[in-house]
Order: sequence, then structure tokens, then C-alpha cells
Amino acid sequence: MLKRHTPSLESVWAEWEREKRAAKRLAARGPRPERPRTPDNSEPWLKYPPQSISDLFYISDKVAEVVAQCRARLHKL
Amino acid sequence: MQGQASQIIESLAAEHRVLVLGGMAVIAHGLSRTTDDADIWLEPMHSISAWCDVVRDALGDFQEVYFFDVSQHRKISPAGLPHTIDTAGMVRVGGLDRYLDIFYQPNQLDVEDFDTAWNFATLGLGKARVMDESFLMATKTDTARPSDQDDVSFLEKKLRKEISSRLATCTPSEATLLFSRYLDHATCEAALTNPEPAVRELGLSGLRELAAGGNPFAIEALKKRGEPL
Repeated sequence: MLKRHTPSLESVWAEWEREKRAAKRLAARGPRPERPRTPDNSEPWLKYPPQSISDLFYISDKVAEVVAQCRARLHKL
Repeated sequence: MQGQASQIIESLAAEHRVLVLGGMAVIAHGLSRTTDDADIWLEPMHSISAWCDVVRDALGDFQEVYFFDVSQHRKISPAGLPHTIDTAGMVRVGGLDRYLDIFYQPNQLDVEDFDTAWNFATLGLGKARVMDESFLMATKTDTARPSDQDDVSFLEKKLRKEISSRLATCTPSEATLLFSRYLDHATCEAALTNPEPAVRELGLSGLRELAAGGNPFAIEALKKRGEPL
């Protein structure tokens, strides 16, 4: 049987409240001049789409490595 | 270098249908996250005992390997595997470079769902396939793990974007198929921009269904269009 997914009502209401708050913020701020949008500056973990189980483990390991490096450098200001 | 868990998955996938699920599947769908284990759904065989034979054979070359019953928090003997599969629907394989969880019946899915899940999987990893987003979300429903909620949130956003762009131009039969995988207010509204009246009607009926369940976006969308709730 096909599994149809519908987001939970709880998450829909959270999204609804987020959107309403953002709309209120924008309305209060008033019109602003056009600004350049930040281009997509993200770099993929691999230069190609994952093709093997090992590629997925590689991504997971790299993420873990970067998270550990960031945590090690974090300090209280 | 290929790890032991990868080798086992690939050797199973060479002979049988194997779906990748869990954290690895979510990474394959594009989320940058970590995972300590590999989860796979090995296709059902004519009996649990035959299924267990295939699992045991695949692990034959690995000396340190052991089976672990996650529901009972204890190691089990190879002979105890059918009982664990019958009661827990999965077994953890330890003693490899990573844990490998092999499912006979994943959370919220039936053994009979395997064929449909296999046919809906569109990403390949060697001979294994990655479980499609809608099935993957089913396996992550009603679990107590916070990471599952993050995964579902990522997969919902991904599906919403992909399905919405297709619903704007697709045929009625494709729209029916898309809505049978995923339904939210944004996808319904995307269907309302389709030139085909039958697709627009599907979008409206989806909005009515969501509104009846109390979805505020759907209620607002119907009101804006002057449609009855």
C-alpha cells in the first residue's frame, strides 16, 4: 500500500504562527529598497551525487568531523 | 576504503533487493547530518527462516560479528535470529566498523509494502535503492527520537518543493499519484495553478480535506477563493 504523508497538525500550526509573525514583522518594517540576494554559496560534501553506501558514510563522517572541530573551537565570550 | 557494513550491504544487494532507510537514506536525500549506523530493509523471502539464512550467509566471512536484539538489549545467538525477527522485526549486527540494522519489517510498514516501496525508490546506491521520502517519513512517524522529527521536517520541505513544481504542469493521472504520496496546503495550492481542470479539482478536494482536519492554511485558502469549507 502506498504511504501518503501529511504534515502533523502540530507542525502546520507552528508554521502558521511563524508565517504570521514574519508577516507582522515585515509590515511593521515598511518598504525597503531592493537588495542583492546572497547567491548559493554552499559547497556540497561530494562533487557528485552520492553513488554508494561508502559515499553516505563519508558525508556522515565529514559532518561529524566539522561539528567536532567547531565544538572544540567554541569558547565563551 | 570500503567499510565492512558497506561490503555487507553491497553483497546482500548483489543477490537481493535492499532498500536503504534511516539516517543514511536521509543523507542520500540531501540532508547533511551524521549517523552512526546503517539501516537496511532486506526484501521478504518465503519464510522468516529463509530470510534469516540469507542474513547469516552474508555475514559468514566476518569473524567478530554478532547479533543483537535491540528490543531486549542483549546479544543473541545466530539460532535465535528467527525469534528476534518475529518479535522485533529487525536485528542489529555488531562487530563491524558500524552497526548494521537489518529490518524485516520497518516501523509503521508491513512486510507486504516492500514491493511498492521498492518501486517508488528512485535513487540508487550501487544495486541497493534508497527508500523514497514518503515511505521514509512513515518509518519516522510516532517514534520518540528527536532526530526523526528533524528528518521528517527536512523531507516534508523537500517533497513540498518537488511535488509543487510538478503539480503546476502535470497531467491528472500524475497529480493523483503525487497526491497519493504527499499532501499539504502548498501542494494543493500549486495544483490550483495547473491548466487542467481535473488537477485543479484535486487541489481543491485536498484543501477541503485538510481544512476539515483543522489546517489553518487550507481554511484560509478556501475562504480567499470563496469556496465552501
